[in-house]
Amino acid sequence: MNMSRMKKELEAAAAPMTFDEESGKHARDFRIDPGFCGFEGHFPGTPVLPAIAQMLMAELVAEEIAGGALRLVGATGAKFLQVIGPNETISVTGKPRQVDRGFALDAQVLCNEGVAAKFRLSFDTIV
Amino acid sequence: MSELSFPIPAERLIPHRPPMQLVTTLLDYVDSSGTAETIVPNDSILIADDGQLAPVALVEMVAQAVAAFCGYEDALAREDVHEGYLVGITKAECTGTVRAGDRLVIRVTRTAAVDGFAFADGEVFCGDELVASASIRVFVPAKAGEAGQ
Repeated sequence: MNMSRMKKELEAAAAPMTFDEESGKHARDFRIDPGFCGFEGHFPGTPVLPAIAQMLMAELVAEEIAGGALRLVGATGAKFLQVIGPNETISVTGKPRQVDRGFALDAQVLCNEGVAAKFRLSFDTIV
Repeated sequence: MSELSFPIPAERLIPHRPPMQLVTTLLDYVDSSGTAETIVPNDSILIADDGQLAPVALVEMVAQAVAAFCGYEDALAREDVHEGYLVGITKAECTGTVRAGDRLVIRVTRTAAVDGFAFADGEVFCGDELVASASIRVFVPAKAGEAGQ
Protein backbone atom coordinates (compact mmCIF):
# COMPACT_ATOMS: atom_id res chain seq x y z
CA MET A 1 0.00 0.00 0.00
CA ASN A 2 1.19 3.53 -0.79
CA MET A 3 2.08 4.97 2.62
CA SER A 4 4.54 7.29 4.28
CA ARG A 5 7.17 5.85 6.57
CA MET A 6 5.27 7.17 9.60
CA LYS A 7 2.06 5.51 8.52
CA LYS A 8 3.84 2.22 7.77
CA GLU A 9 5.38 2.19 11.24
CA LEU A 10 2.00 2.89 12.82
CA GLU A 11 0.42 0.08 10.83
CA ALA A 12 3.18 -2.26 12.02
CA ALA A 13 2.46 -1.24 15.62
CA ALA A 14 -1.26 -1.99 15.35
CA ALA A 15 -3.32 -4.99 16.44
CA PRO A 16 -6.16 -6.31 14.27
CA MET A 17 -9.40 -4.34 14.16
CA THR A 18 -12.25 -5.17 16.49
CA PHE A 19 -15.88 -4.12 16.27
CA ASP A 20 -18.35 -3.49 19.07
CA GLU A 21 -21.86 -4.02 17.79
CA GLU A 22 -23.50 -2.24 20.69
CA SER A 23 -21.65 1.03 20.19
CA GLY A 24 -21.06 0.65 16.47
CA LYS A 25 -17.41 1.51 17.01
CA HIS A 26 -14.43 -0.10 15.39
CA ALA A 27 -11.17 -0.16 17.32
CA ARG A 28 -7.50 -0.91 16.89
CA ASP A 29 -4.92 -1.03 19.62
CA PHE A 30 -1.46 0.39 19.05
CA ARG A 31 1.73 0.13 21.02
CA ILE A 32 4.30 2.63 19.81
CA ASP A 33 7.86 1.78 20.75
CA PRO A 34 10.57 4.37 21.42
CA GLY A 35 12.07 3.84 17.98
CA PHE A 36 9.01 5.24 16.21
CA CYS A 37 10.08 7.85 13.67
CA GLY A 38 7.50 10.34 14.98
CA PHE A 39 9.24 10.49 18.34
CA GLU A 40 12.53 11.47 16.74
CA GLY A 41 12.90 15.21 17.09
CA HIS A 42 9.51 15.55 18.78
CA PHE A 43 11.09 16.46 21.05
CA PRO A 44 14.80 15.73 21.67
CA GLY A 45 15.04 14.04 25.06
CA THR A 46 11.26 14.14 25.59
CA PRO A 47 9.47 11.88 23.12
CA VAL A 48 5.86 12.94 22.63
CA LEU A 49 3.48 11.24 20.22
CA PRO A 50 2.63 13.90 17.61
CA ALA A 51 -1.01 14.85 17.19
CA ILE A 52 -0.73 14.06 13.51
CA ALA A 53 0.41 10.54 14.35
CA GLN A 54 -2.83 10.10 16.27
CA MET A 55 -4.71 11.35 13.24
CA LEU A 56 -2.85 8.88 11.03
CA MET A 57 -3.80 6.08 13.41
CA ALA A 58 -7.43 7.06 12.94
CA GLU A 59 -6.83 7.21 9.19
CA LEU A 60 -5.71 3.57 9.32
CA VAL A 61 -8.91 2.68 11.15
CA ALA A 62 -10.94 4.60 8.59
CA GLU A 63 -9.29 2.86 5.65
CA GLU A 64 -9.96 -0.55 7.11
CA ILE A 65 -13.61 0.31 7.63
CA ALA A 66 -13.90 1.81 4.17
CA GLY A 67 -12.07 -1.09 2.59
CA GLY A 68 -9.60 1.01 0.65
CA ALA A 69 -7.21 3.94 0.59
CA LEU A 70 -8.51 7.33 1.67
CA ARG A 71 -7.17 10.84 1.36
CA LEU A 72 -7.64 13.22 4.27
CA VAL A 73 -9.44 16.40 3.26
CA GLY A 74 -10.51 17.83 6.59
CA ALA A 75 -10.55 17.70 10.35
CA THR A 76 -12.89 19.35 12.81
CA GLY A 77 -13.42 19.50 16.55
CA ALA A 78 -10.01 18.05 17.33
CA LYS A 79 -8.86 18.04 20.92
CA PHE A 80 -5.57 16.55 22.08
CA LEU A 81 -5.84 16.12 25.82
CA GLN A 82 -2.91 13.97 26.89
CA VAL A 83 0.81 13.87 26.33
CA ILE A 84 1.49 10.33 25.13
CA GLY A 85 4.95 8.84 25.30
CA PRO A 86 6.53 5.61 24.08
CA ASN A 87 5.31 2.16 25.07
CA GLU A 88 1.81 3.30 26.01
CA THR A 89 -1.11 1.11 25.02
CA ILE A 90 -3.30 3.24 22.81
CA SER A 91 -6.73 2.32 21.55
CA VAL A 92 -8.14 4.22 18.60
CA THR A 93 -11.88 3.90 18.11
CA GLY A 94 -13.79 5.05 15.09
CA LYS A 95 -17.40 5.36 14.11
CA PRO A 96 -18.23 6.15 10.49
CA ARG A 97 -20.46 9.13 9.78
CA GLN A 98 -22.98 9.33 7.00
CA VAL A 99 -21.82 11.93 4.49
CA ASP A 100 -22.91 12.89 0.99
CA ARG A 101 -19.47 12.45 -0.48
CA GLY A 102 -16.40 10.52 0.60
CA PHE A 103 -16.00 9.11 4.07
CA ALA A 104 -16.03 10.58 7.56
CA LEU A 105 -15.02 9.16 10.89
CA ASP A 106 -15.57 10.23 14.47
CA ALA A 107 -12.49 9.03 16.28
CA GLN A 108 -11.27 8.81 19.83
CA VAL A 109 -7.79 8.01 21.07
CA LEU A 110 -7.86 6.26 24.42
CA CYS A 111 -4.81 6.00 26.66
CA ASN A 112 -4.20 5.65 30.38
CA GLU A 113 -7.88 4.85 30.93
CA GLY A 114 -8.97 8.16 29.53
CA VAL A 115 -9.67 10.02 26.32
CA ALA A 116 -6.37 11.30 24.98
CA ALA A 117 -7.83 12.84 21.84
CA LYS A 118 -10.95 13.11 19.78
CA PHE A 119 -11.67 14.49 16.33
CA ARG A 120 -13.73 14.10 13.21
CA LEU A 121 -11.86 13.37 10.01
CA SER A 122 -13.19 13.72 6.49
CA PHE A 123 -11.78 11.84 3.54
CA ASP A 124 -12.05 11.48 -0.19
CA THR A 125 -11.92 7.93 -1.46
CA ILE A 126 -8.99 7.10 -3.70
CA VAL A 127 -10.02 5.19 -6.79
CA MET B 1 20.84 34.50 21.42
CA SER B 2 22.69 36.43 18.73
CA GLU B 3 20.87 39.20 16.94
CA LEU B 4 17.98 37.90 14.87
CA SER B 5 17.47 38.97 11.31
CA PHE B 6 15.17 37.44 8.74
CA PRO B 7 15.20 34.85 7.33
CA ILE B 8 15.73 32.90 10.55
CA PRO B 9 16.40 29.15 10.60
CA ALA B 10 13.48 27.55 12.39
CA GLU B 11 15.73 25.43 14.61
CA ARG B 12 16.66 28.64 16.44
CA LEU B 13 12.99 29.21 17.29
CA ILE B 14 11.33 25.82 17.81
CA PRO B 15 12.28 22.70 19.79
CA HIS B 16 11.43 20.33 16.93
CA ARG B 17 14.23 18.60 15.11
CA PRO B 18 14.36 16.37 12.01
CA PRO B 19 12.64 14.27 10.95
CA MET B 20 9.69 15.86 12.78
CA GLN B 21 10.81 19.42 12.10
CA LEU B 22 8.61 20.29 9.13
CA VAL B 23 9.25 24.04 8.90
CA THR B 24 12.70 25.29 7.96
CA THR B 25 12.66 29.08 8.05
CA LEU B 26 10.76 32.01 9.54
CA LEU B 27 10.64 34.64 6.81
CA ASP B 28 8.96 37.51 8.57
CA TYR B 29 6.99 38.65 11.58
CA VAL B 30 4.60 41.59 11.62
CA ASP B 31 2.43 42.29 14.66
CA SER B 32 0.46 39.11 15.16
CA SER B 33 1.33 37.48 11.86
CA GLY B 34 4.25 35.60 10.47
CA THR B 35 5.39 33.73 7.39
CA ALA B 36 7.39 30.53 7.35
CA GLU B 37 8.60 28.32 4.56
CA THR B 38 9.79 24.82 3.94
CA ILE B 39 10.94 22.67 1.08
CA VAL B 40 9.52 19.18 1.41
CA PRO B 41 12.48 16.79 1.59
CA ASN B 42 12.55 13.67 -0.55
CA ASP B 43 13.22 11.55 2.55
CA SER B 44 10.48 13.07 4.71
CA ILE B 45 8.87 10.52 7.00
CA LEU B 46 5.54 11.87 5.77
CA ILE B 47 6.17 11.30 2.05
CA ALA B 48 4.39 8.28 0.62
CA ASP B 49 5.88 5.85 -1.87
CA ASP B 50 4.38 7.85 -4.74
CA GLY B 51 6.13 11.04 -3.59
CA GLN B 52 3.03 12.74 -2.21
CA LEU B 53 3.05 14.39 1.19
CA ALA B 54 0.53 13.11 3.70
CA PRO B 55 -2.12 15.84 4.14
CA VAL B 56 -1.78 15.70 7.95
CA ALA B 57 1.73 17.10 7.51
CA LEU B 58 0.22 20.38 6.29
CA VAL B 59 -1.66 20.78 9.56
CA GLU B 60 1.56 20.13 11.50
CA MET B 61 3.29 22.77 9.39
CA VAL B 62 0.75 25.35 10.50
CA ALA B 63 1.37 24.36 14.12
CA GLN B 64 5.14 24.58 13.72
CA ALA B 65 4.87 27.92 11.94
CA VAL B 66 2.91 29.20 14.94
CA ALA B 67 5.60 27.74 17.18
CA ALA B 68 8.29 29.56 15.20
CA PHE B 69 6.30 32.77 15.45
CA CYS B 70 6.04 32.36 19.22
CA GLY B 71 9.67 31.37 19.42
CA TYR B 72 10.64 34.59 17.70
CA GLU B 73 8.68 36.53 20.29
CA ASP B 74 10.49 34.59 23.02
CA ALA B 75 13.81 35.41 21.39
CA LEU B 76 12.95 39.10 21.30
CA ALA B 77 12.17 38.82 25.02
CA ARG B 78 15.47 36.98 25.49
CA GLU B 79 13.68 33.85 26.67
CA ASP B 80 14.54 30.25 25.85
CA VAL B 81 12.65 28.28 23.22
CA HIS B 82 9.65 26.62 24.86
CA GLU B 83 8.00 23.33 24.00
CA GLY B 84 4.48 23.77 22.73
CA TYR B 85 1.80 21.23 21.96
CA LEU B 86 -0.89 21.20 19.32
CA VAL B 87 -3.96 20.75 21.52
CA GLY B 88 -6.81 21.61 19.22
CA ILE B 89 -7.90 21.92 15.62
CA THR B 90 -11.14 23.82 15.21
CA LYS B 91 -11.15 23.20 11.50
CA ALA B 92 -8.59 22.13 8.94
CA GLU B 93 -8.94 21.63 5.24
CA CYS B 94 -6.44 19.96 2.96
CA THR B 95 -7.29 20.97 -0.55
CA GLY B 96 -4.16 20.46 -2.61
CA THR B 97 -1.55 17.86 -3.44
CA VAL B 98 2.01 18.44 -2.30
CA ARG B 99 5.01 16.46 -3.45
CA ALA B 100 8.61 16.01 -2.38
CA GLY B 101 10.67 18.98 -3.54
CA ASP B 102 7.77 21.47 -3.36
CA ARG B 103 8.42 24.81 -1.66
CA LEU B 104 5.65 25.68 0.75
CA VAL B 105 4.89 29.03 2.35
CA ILE B 106 2.94 28.99 5.60
CA ARG B 107 1.20 32.19 6.69
CA VAL B 108 -0.09 32.32 10.24
CA THR B 109 -1.96 34.87 12.29
CA ARG B 110 -2.38 34.64 16.02
CA THR B 111 -5.97 35.49 16.84
CA ALA B 112 -5.75 35.22 20.63
CA ALA B 113 -3.37 34.30 23.44
CA VAL B 114 -4.63 33.37 26.90
CA ASP B 115 -2.77 31.73 29.77
CA GLY B 116 -0.36 29.69 27.70
CA PHE B 117 -2.81 28.98 24.88
CA ALA B 118 -2.27 30.52 21.45
CA PHE B 119 -5.11 30.50 18.93
CA ALA B 120 -4.05 30.91 15.34
CA ASP B 121 -5.19 30.66 11.76
CA GLY B 122 -2.83 29.40 9.11
CA GLU B 123 -2.70 28.85 5.37
CA VAL B 124 -0.23 26.77 3.39
CA PHE B 125 0.59 27.78 -0.16
CA CYS B 126 2.43 25.89 -2.87
CA GLY B 127 3.16 28.63 -5.35
CA ASP B 128 -0.13 30.46 -5.74
CA GLU B 129 -2.20 27.43 -4.79
CA LEU B 130 -3.75 27.23 -1.34
CA VAL B 131 -3.15 23.62 -0.33
CA ALA B 132 -4.30 23.73 3.28
CA SER B 133 -5.81 25.94 5.93
CA ALA B 134 -6.29 25.41 9.63
CA SER B 135 -7.52 27.10 12.76
CA ILE B 136 -5.58 25.64 15.66
CA ARG B 137 -4.85 25.94 19.34
CA VAL B 138 -1.34 25.49 20.76
CA PHE B 139 -0.45 25.16 24.45
CA VAL B 140 2.89 26.26 25.86
CA PRO B 141 3.18 24.90 29.43
CA ALA B 142 5.97 27.30 30.32
CA LYS B 143 3.65 30.21 29.66
CA ALA B 144 0.66 28.88 31.56
CA GLY B 145 -0.19 30.94 34.59
CA GLU B 146 1.09 34.16 33.10
CA ALA B 147 -1.29 37.05 32.75
CA GLY B 148 -3.30 37.11 29.52
CA GLN B 149 -1.40 38.78 26.71
